Amino acid sequence: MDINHTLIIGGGTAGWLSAAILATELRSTQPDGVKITLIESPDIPILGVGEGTWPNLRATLKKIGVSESDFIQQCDATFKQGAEFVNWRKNTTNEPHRYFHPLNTVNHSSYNFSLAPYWLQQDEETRLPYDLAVSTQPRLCNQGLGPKPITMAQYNGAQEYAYHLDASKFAMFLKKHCIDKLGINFISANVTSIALDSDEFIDHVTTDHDELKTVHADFFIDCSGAKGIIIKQTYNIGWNNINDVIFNDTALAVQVPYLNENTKVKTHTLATAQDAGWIWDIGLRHRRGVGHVYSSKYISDEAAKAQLIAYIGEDYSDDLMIRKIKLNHGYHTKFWHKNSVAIGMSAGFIEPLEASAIFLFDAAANMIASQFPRRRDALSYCEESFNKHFTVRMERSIEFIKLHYCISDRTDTPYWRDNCDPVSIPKRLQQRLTFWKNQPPTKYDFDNAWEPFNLDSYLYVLYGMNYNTDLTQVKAKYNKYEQAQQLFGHVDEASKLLLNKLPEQTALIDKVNTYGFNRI
Amino acid sequence: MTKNETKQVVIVGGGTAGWLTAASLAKRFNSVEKKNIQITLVESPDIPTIGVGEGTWPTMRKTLASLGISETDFMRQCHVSLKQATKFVNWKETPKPGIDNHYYHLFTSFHDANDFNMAPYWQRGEIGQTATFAQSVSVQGALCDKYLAPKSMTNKEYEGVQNYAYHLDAGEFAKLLKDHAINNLGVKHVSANVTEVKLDVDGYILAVETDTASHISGDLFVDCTGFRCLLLGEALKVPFNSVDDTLLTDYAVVMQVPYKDETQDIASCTISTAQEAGWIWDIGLANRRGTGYVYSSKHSSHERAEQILREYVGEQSAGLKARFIPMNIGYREKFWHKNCVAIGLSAAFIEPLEASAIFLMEAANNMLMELFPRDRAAMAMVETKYNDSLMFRWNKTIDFIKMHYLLSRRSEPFWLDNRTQTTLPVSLTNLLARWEYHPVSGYDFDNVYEPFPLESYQYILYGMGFEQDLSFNAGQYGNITHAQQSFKKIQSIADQVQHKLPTNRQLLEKIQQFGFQKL
Repeated sequence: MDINHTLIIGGGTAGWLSAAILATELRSTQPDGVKITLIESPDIPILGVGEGTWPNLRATLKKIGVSESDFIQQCDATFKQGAEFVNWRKNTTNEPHRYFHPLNTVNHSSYNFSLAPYWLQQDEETRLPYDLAVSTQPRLCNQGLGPKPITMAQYNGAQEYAYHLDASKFAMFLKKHCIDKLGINFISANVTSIALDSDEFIDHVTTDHDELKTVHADFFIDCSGAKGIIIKQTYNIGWNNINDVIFNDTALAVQVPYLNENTKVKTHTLATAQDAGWIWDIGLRHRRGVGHVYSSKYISDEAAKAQLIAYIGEDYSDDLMIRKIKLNHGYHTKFWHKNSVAIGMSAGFIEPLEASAIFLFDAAANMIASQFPRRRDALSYCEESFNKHFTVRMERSIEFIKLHYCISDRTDTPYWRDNCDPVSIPKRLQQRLTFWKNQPPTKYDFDNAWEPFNLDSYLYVLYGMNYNTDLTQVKAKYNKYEQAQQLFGHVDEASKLLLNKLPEQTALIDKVNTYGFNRI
Repeated sequence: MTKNETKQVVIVGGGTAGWLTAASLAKRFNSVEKKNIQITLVESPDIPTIGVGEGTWPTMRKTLASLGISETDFMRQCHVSLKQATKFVNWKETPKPGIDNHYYHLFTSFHDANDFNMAPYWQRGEIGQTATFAQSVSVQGALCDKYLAPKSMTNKEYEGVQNYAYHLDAGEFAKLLKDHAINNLGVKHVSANVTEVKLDVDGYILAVETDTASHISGDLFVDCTGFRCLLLGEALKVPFNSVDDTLLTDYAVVMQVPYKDETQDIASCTISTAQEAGWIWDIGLANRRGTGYVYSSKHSSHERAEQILREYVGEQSAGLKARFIPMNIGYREKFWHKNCVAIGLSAAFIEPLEASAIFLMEAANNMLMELFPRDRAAMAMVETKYNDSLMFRWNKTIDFIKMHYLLSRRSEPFWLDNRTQTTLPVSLTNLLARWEYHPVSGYDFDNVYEPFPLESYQYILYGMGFEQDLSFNAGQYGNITHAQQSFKKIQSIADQVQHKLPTNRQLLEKIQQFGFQKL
């Protein structure tokens, strides 16, 4: 049986991004391509949080054929060069502890030459913090500079970058592109039931649409969010609960306009730790998106709200709407089942600490497109391979998020103390942390090709948090001091050069909005 | 100071595995400084090295450069020639009289197939209708056809116009590494026979007793004792798992063949020619060829095997002595146990079809150096990681080699037996089932340390004439113009490059005289 028609259930970022990727890769506009229909409820608003992305989105946007200027203009996007973590360690001075997890691996990658062991051997009193020592980007972020000059072609960067964006506008933008350019058939209706055939494959769905009462397809993608119309309601696939690892179960989100239009827009995400959670702060051009992610076991909603308002400071006013969102951490025991696959919140949810949500949608859609089964007998291979891959990606993402909490030396509240309790730390992460006590992580710790967080990311967080790796006994194997000095020196020189050359983020965004980039 | 710090490494056994490991560790840990980790290698004066294993992978260039060995010195001393591929002759089917069939497994592809995969376009006849897959995606086959080298004298050491590896004299190679390790890298050499392995109460190795040098204690022991597997196998009792149910060859008969004269071409690829009960390797060094027939003694008598090798070599075989080597194909249940790690034949052996032996030693060394455990407490974690990773690599290597046999249409009993269901690993048949209707994809390989890349699978699959039907999904391969342009570009580069490169023989003669520019 051939697979010629795919039905995506649910719009939102996951639905429209998947539609765009599949339609491009599977050439929906061509007679022999795969036809794609997306059905979206006119009644369910898009959740519209998840405003941070990863650099891979650039390649995807380019591939689906949108111009970067249009994207930035229509989605209120700004450039993101990393995240800064504030207060994730004990406060020992008047200034809170802060470190960057930058996106850059442009200058050098720790896969080729890891500077970490050489940094670890420097004098703790006088050395630069790890992020400043090995990457140019923290300095640029501190100055609010953009990753590229306006003269650079679209999607190219002098520094690695991703975006901050307005998630609702992004979904709308993708929707328009999908319908106008990529040949996607759009139905505005609610799915009322899913009909299975005798082998329990999905045969068709029924809707409340006036004319299209039933929609047949060969393959189905569940992008219906936490509802999980296919994965949960139809197939009742099991759920891995991770509330014992990641404690946060609630978010309070608010959009905060700048009081002053000339406010410098930050070129990185701020993540500031609180008593029982953390606050995200994402700068778009005309407003910030701010939210408090916390555990209701450790703090009341009122107290969490008070902390959020205190954080926002003078930009806060009582007429701003604070939305409360329940978070259900975990992921399904499988994502692909028979002729269906779940992408987005229907597949699983991990808090936005490292902005992995949109990345994971993108990765999922690309993998499905690349391996797309055009016949029913090819489904089982894809099912097995996809489920294996995405289980790894979810597990590893959770471990990486947990890392931020469990190596903290904060002991001021039960929330932080419990986060460091070994019973809450996945076993694999515990083993790795033990191993890294005597040597820094190496590329051999990252042997999966689809590892969502790579060696560089681990090094930034571990040594940003001053994780104590004692090298005394294995020092001898790090004897390339000259090369290390050169690389440290190069970071320093390149930083100076870039600080001179790169424009301020706000000015750059204004220029893009007025003139746009070179379209190459 | 912790107890049981790893300060002394004792390597038992010389040969390529022993000396490569000794040199790598000593270089990395800067053992010439006495305060650093020290390396001792105990080598028997009585046991000769096996001295086959004459093909490497391109990784060897980086390995040698990092050891501080000059490529010129290496090439001169080890009679090296440059290798760009393996040419598989008569693997596809039993040849009709006088008409051989062949294909190449090349080191260089024009595009990284993860960026742009040319295979579906070739497969669907949209590029190179008359060209083979290898010709459609790489210029390197054309160079091999003409015995050309991958670089010229103006290229620096270890740099090539095309990707390349080496053919080398394994005995000389071990000697070169030995001299370098002892004289320049601070490795302590003990020439003695190990008579006893002493364990402590926890089953860790404390020391080895020897006949002439008394007792040598250490913190970490590397077993490079070859098939004997003295430490890991005999002393620590780690069992051996045979894979003779998957790979059927168990013997090799080998012969070193001089060149006819000083003008005979030196092949710039390994030639592997399928025979009725196995296959013959033919490796052209600078000063001679090394040949060997790898066969199954269940399917061929030793006399018949020797006869086949002699027929292959032709009249030059007259008067040459053939040597028989039994092969024990399989691997240890684990390679690292307590404070002992086995590298080389002691860890595993599979037939040399894809020259993976030395490559896997390099891979083992790299991992050992990078994860080197500080003390006994750190060893358990390294043990698991190392065993998992190396086991994965060996298994995938076995699958990849088996694939060559499985895809063949030869009809002799040896070949038919190689294709019976019970000999086929499920991991391999699953992939092949997938590839019947889908191109090979990066998503089929999710481990970073996959020994053979996507391209290698493509060369073998398409070279063997694997039937793949992509017709139902034709819409996905719409980038025809790009594929056609790439194809044209490859053909024009092939034309240009042929006139610029010397033959392998010309290059090797010049190296004898002048040497390359140092890096």
